[in-house]
Amino acid sequence: MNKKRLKELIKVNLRYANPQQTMQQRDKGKSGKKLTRSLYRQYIYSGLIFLLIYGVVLIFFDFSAMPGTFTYYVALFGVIAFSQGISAIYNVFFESADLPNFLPLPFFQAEVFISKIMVVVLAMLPLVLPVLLVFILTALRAKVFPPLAIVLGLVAFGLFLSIIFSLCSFIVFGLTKTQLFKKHRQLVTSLLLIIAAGTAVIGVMTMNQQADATASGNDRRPIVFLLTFFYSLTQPEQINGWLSWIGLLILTVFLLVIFSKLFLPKLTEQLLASTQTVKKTTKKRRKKQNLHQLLRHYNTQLINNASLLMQMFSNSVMLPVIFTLSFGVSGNYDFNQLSLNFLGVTFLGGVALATITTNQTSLVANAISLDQQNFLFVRSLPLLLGEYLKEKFLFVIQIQGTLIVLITIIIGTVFSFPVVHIFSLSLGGLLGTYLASLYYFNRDYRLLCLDWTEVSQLFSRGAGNLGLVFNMFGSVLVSALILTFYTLGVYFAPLITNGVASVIVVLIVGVWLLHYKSVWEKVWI
Amino acid sequence: MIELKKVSKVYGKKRALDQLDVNIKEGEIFGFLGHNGAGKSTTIKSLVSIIEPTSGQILVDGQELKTHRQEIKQKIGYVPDTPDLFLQLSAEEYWDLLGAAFELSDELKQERVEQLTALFELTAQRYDTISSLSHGMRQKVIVIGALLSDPDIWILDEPMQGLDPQAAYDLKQLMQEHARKGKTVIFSTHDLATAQQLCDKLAILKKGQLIYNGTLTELMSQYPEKSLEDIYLSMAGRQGLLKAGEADE
Repeated sequence: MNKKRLKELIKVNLRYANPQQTMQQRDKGKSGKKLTRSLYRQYIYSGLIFLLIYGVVLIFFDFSAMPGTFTYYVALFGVIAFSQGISAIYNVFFESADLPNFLPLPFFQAEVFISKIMVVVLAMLPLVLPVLLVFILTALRAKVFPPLAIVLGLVAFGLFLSIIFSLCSFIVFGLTKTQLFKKHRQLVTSLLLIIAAGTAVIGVMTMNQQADATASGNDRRPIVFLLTFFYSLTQPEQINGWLSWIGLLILTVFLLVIFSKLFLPKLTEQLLASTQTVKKTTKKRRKKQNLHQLLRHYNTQLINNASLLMQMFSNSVMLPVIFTLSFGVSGNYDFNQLSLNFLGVTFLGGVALATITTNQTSLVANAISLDQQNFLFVRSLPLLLGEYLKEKFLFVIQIQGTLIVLITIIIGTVFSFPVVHIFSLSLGGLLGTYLASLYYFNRDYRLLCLDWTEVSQLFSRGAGNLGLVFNMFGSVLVSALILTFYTLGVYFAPLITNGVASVIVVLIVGVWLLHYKSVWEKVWI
Repeated sequence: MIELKKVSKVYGKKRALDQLDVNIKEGEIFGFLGHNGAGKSTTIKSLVSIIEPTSGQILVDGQELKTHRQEIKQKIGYVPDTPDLFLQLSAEEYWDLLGAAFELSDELKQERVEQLTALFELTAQRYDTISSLSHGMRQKVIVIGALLSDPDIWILDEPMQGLDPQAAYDLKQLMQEHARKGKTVIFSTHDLATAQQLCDKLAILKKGQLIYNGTLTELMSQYPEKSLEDIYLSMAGRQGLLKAGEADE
């Protein structure tokens, strides 16, 4: 294996695994070695931040005396790494679809695959670094000779990472080998990414509950199969510890051998097949389709891409759902008896929710740019641009609207709202989504980007990721303040407060609609 | 010497290449000519290891491609039919990757990059991402990449597409210069003028089958009264239409 070639391949894969970061760094004038260094640095920083956040908590636990808590934390970070691993393997190996580019070049297949595996491990590493800390702390607290404790921690961490990587590989490479994947690629990819994201949600929820449990000082029931790590670190000189090490080594070697014998030899063919399956699709001609139907069909095809949809929905929908579920499940909220006086509050709650779910990563905020060069071509057609954009807006607003209704129903159910309040929440959500969509659709037109290669490039337009975070937190903060004051007002003087609130809402909505009417009228011409 | 012996490629029920037999000598400029879907790109992609033929043998200097892939790849510089490769890399980073693949020293790679970027007037764009370049510029980046290792065999799939007249002229000059150094140049095209200008020998393909293999002079001498276009269309084109056209005249 040639070191220089491996280094170059890692460099290339690093850029492909971090398109957004790469683009941002390039905008700052970085390229070549400087760019590579800053991409590495980003992994180091996120690892350090993760380590710092959890390290502060973990350092106070005596894991050597709490095997249950030890196994839960290992499982928790394992689940997060598992989720990250699945999407990283899929993106680096399949979504990048770059294998045919390497084939004519004199690289060994092993070099190409090892570089990809290293980038996948690098993506997983920052999220699992707290496990290394847990391992070393556990060994140290068990009074293992400190240098040995560090070495044992590092080796156990290496084994842990290898096991997670192998399991993720089995799922991704196994699933992509199936006839189901070959026939329904989009569907299976969506399922795969949803499973990956879903495992992270479950992980976060477990963490919340676990944090409550450990705060009270009680140890949890241990997860048996993870106790091997515990014994290998706390009793390295005893038979238990030795058996654990042997067990872990055998498991890791077994998994890696299966990976190298079962998947690696056919990987090139598998990846090529997945990149070259450009199926000849024949569609029946639909008779008498009008322009509205044709554009609707075109817009449907435009978003018919699993990873695109996942990226958009995970950014705009997952956050409120995660928040709600983790609050709803860990707390004991019951708004079953909520008075009708608070209908306005739930309505505004829906509006507030819509301002969080509709953001710069939403479908409506990128719908025009998704056209890419088609948009310029459409401009050249004897078609009213206004009509074209109106069709597009109506199409995406229906999707955004459906999403917010689903979210509000989930939230209303989790918090046991009466049906009429769920209805009010949904109505508020719909209104908020419509208003926010007017802004974001126009924003997309203002910051139009048609030559993107990765959809994530669209998300960082304008104020960038920082803007997205500020916007989201700002929305949460302002919404929380308004809702608190409104609730207090309704509590003490329902009639007056609801009356004033209604007038303010009507005024704001009216001004908002008039503003965007005039904005779009300029575009229509 | 490159030998294709009874090379076939089958996709499901479609036979993209059918028992192709071609020999290409060192120092030759060899062109594959044919309509869209004739099998030109399949042949080229088989030569550069992107496609595995269903049957048959490809030999380079007596070594079989299937069993000596690594050594043979080291001899080949390849320009694909679309220059949309490694779009997120800058041109310089792409050349770094190729420098590492062909195990060139940094000094040698740099020297060749300087020469070629100056020739193709790409010096100012070398740090731009490939995705931000126009089609023609991307093509130049890929051509420079293919020439970095000064390959024994230079394979180009539809190389003139999207190049401006100056760049196309320069590329043709380079191809001829490469062949003059005793190296082999293989390319595919459906542009008859380019084939006429460059080819020492050519193979005409139709629906995966070889319908002519030889020199251009031999071909022209068989039909002294006809232009290359007429000859080509009567062999590979819709003959009925051609006859109708002739009847009108």
